[in-house]
Amino acid sequence: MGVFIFCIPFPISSHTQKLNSIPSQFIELRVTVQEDDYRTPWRKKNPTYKQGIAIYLGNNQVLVPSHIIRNYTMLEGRSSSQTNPVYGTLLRVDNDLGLAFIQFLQPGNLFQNFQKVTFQKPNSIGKNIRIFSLDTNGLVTKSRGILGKLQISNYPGGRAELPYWEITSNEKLNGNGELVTNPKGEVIGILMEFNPSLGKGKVIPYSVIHEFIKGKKVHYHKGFYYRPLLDDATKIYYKMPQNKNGVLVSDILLGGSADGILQKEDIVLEIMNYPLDGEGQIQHPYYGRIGFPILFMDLDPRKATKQIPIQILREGKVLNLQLPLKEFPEEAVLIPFEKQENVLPGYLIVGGLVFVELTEFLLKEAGRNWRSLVDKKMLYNLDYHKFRKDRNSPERLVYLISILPDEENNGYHNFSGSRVVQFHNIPIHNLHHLYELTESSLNQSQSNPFWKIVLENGNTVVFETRKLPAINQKIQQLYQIPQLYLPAHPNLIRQRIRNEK
Amino acid sequence: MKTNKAHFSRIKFFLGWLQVLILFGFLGPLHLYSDVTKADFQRIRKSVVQIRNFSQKPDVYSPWTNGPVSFNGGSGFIISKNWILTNAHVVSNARYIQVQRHNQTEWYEAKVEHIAHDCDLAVLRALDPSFYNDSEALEIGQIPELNTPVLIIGYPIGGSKLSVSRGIVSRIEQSVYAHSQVDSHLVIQVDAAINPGNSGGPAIQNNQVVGVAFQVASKGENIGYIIPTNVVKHFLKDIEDGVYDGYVELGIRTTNTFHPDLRKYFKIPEEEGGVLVTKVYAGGSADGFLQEGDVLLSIHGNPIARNGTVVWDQDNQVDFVEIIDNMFAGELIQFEILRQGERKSIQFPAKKMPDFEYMRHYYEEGYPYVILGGLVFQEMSRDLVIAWGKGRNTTGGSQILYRFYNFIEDNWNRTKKADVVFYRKLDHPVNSHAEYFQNLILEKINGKPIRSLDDLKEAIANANEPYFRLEFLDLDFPLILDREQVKKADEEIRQIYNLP
Repeated sequence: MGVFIFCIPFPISSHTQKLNSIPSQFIELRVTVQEDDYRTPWRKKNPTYKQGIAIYLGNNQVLVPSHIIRNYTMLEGRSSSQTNPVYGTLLRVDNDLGLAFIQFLQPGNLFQNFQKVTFQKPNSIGKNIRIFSLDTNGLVTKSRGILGKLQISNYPGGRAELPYWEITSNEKLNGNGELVTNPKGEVIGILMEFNPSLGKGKVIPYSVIHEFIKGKKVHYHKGFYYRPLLDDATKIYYKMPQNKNGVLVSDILLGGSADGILQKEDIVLEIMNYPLDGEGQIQHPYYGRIGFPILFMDLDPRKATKQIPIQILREGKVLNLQLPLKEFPEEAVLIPFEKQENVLPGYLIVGGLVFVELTEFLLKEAGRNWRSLVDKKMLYNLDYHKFRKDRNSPERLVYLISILPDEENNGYHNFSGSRVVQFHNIPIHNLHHLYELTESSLNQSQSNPFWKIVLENGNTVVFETRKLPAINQKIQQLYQIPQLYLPAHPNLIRQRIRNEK
Repeated sequence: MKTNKAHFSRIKFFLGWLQVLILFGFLGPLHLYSDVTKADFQRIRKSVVQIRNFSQKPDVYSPWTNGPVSFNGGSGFIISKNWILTNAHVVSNARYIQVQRHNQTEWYEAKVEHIAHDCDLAVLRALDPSFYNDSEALEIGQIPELNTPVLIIGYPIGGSKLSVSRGIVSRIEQSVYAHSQVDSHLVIQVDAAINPGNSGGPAIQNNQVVGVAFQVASKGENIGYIIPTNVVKHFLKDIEDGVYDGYVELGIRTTNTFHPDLRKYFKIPEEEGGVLVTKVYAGGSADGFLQEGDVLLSIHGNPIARNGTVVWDQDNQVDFVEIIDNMFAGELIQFEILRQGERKSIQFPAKKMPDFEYMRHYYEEGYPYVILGGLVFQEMSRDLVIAWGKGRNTTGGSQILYRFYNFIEDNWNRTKKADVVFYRKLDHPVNSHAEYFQNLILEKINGKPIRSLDDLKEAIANANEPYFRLEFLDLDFPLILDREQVKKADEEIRQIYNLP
């Protein structure tokens, strides 16, 4: 078969560091962050700060949850032996695994008398856990918690489906990198999220940290979504064999592992010879009962074959197929969500009209209650149509998001909030497509006397093409816009096109 | 600048908090204007009526039952035919109505003869003719001019005695009528002390009724609104044949033509005004007659300005659809238009647009529903969305909200009468796996499209497959129910949940 699994992690270090007393092993990481502004994308938001706990791994390197350093501009480390800040450099980040390495090239006394934390498979997990953090004086604090169920899902900002532990604790925690151990002091994970009002959090388990440290770069994704299949009526309807269980394929990602292999309403019975239960769980040799996507985490891209066996039920017949292994297909995404990496807040300004692509991050600019506040059609599209159905459908949804008012665009001032569907009669594929059409129109103003777009609500915007350069320049100067176009696609060269400053 | 408007005879898309509050009671100091003498007032006040309504509203969430009995009061006044004119919201969902005039000692039972929720007006009749002794019908006058005084007479909160307040006509505009939350007609803003309970009372000027008090602004002090007499007369004319038909709808979206490049592209002469038709809605009066890209230059000979207004009452500018608002079904709407640069005259009959009914609050009648295996279905309605919204804001909710707001806008009504929503589950083992599908729109049962609640009833009644395969909007996998199990469960569910 050629499938290799390395699901039983092995020690990285030959030394097992017991953490009964937790010597100096953490530093305080202060991260200066400057977030993108998706509503006025030519500017950045005011800088803010985040505090994180960074775990010392030797060689002047520390480990932190990756969400701490998202959009960072500066990394500073402090410890009880080094109260003046020391500046760090990002060495490596993996948003799928939710972790990052930071190196301090000139650490000074930052790690004085430090012992590196070593990770080894804990001998036991146990229910009672201890959580180590730093207080405001840089001293180690210890909290208690209860370890909950092992779940599997993508981490915030990632696509790969990975295991995490739920924990509960009634103590003050932040979810910014605290070290989690069993009562014996064996490290079982890092706290990546904590909701103080619920007293619940999520822990990156030891095995995922292990993957990150090893440097795993490719994360396979199953390429489809499924629903549990538990009730008898549905099972009988699909002619499920009495001795079988499985899950119903509900959606297939364009260009993903299952594209062209599985069909909607297939029932997945086995993957890699692991039989599934009605909730999609398997009996894993290391994790025990857990969702079958864990099998994709186990696959070693350097060793594994490019496909795995999958057994399905289709129209009452059992079929044995091969599922090719692919990463999460970003080409399937119509409305970028969750994973902010590689999503740029691009924009195009024409005649004072600001165009952007619809993303979850744009909607979240509405604030904490964004779901209640944003346009319901945008929200509906995000909830139900975030994926493309086929390669002929648009790659992104382009919206007229705001207007920079001027006499030159009088009449269009209240047109914002609607999707751009056509440039003349040409359907718009993405922001860059609208940019190219605009450029082409400007370059051929003799044969294209009008720049015209049609919005989804029927509104039409028209400018005389020959006038547009002067209007653009006027509005760019009036509102001090650094450039009129910034691509939103990571695969496009981020060149400063039409920078007329 | 007025731009980008949808013209559904005045339908507006609103949900949630009201910009105006409906009144149910009031008070105010007695001051008489010089144009209403003491003798006139003595005569007028005999025609003003206090109304008590004992009502019971259907329960949208549990449509097989009604809500508790509630009481509300309001005002009204006697007009011709011994009718008592009042607001629809004063007598909505009435189970028992009593009326009483100034200085009467008895309460008299009354019945609703006609009710118009789209313009918040109703006429009642007292069952005992002696109620009308020594009264006379008030005369319906014209729309008052700006900066002229009016008296607001009625029975506000806190007492059974007549109350009078005075104010000045401060603005005449089109606005949303809070009772239905979607219909928009002309309103007159006054600065009189209008309070809850004034609803339905007359606004008097020169001994004539010039409006009916009906709502106040929720923000701002002493900003009240009265229904102008053109709306009242429209209602009274509509019911002359014994049936209330309601307002007609033009059913288009237009935008302004301020921008010179847009005007040039659509070849609009400089001396013309005009608005651009950007959408034509299915089922509206204009459907099949106007086209997207048409420029409306004039209506019934009245030039339409670039912002979509026409001159009205000599020196006021109002939205051109106000002209259509005063029309009746079957009358001809006449436009002068530009189509691809060519000037044309277009005329077509005005008609109602029943597709909009779902956007109004429901009154009087219950909410039709279907229960299948404990799954409760209703057609989408404003009341259902509001009841749902009081619960929580879930992922599933965005589908409901989008479809509610955009059902007409996105022309879904071309292919179906209404969205049928699975909004509630009466828990039973037969539906234990159905929760995921809750708050979604049902599209098909056993392959048959569900375009209305009647379709659903028919599909269930005619099903002969052993299973119900329910397909929902935006989901690519079905909900399966065993038909025999459902049949058995339905009976159990009826007993467990006390269903009729």
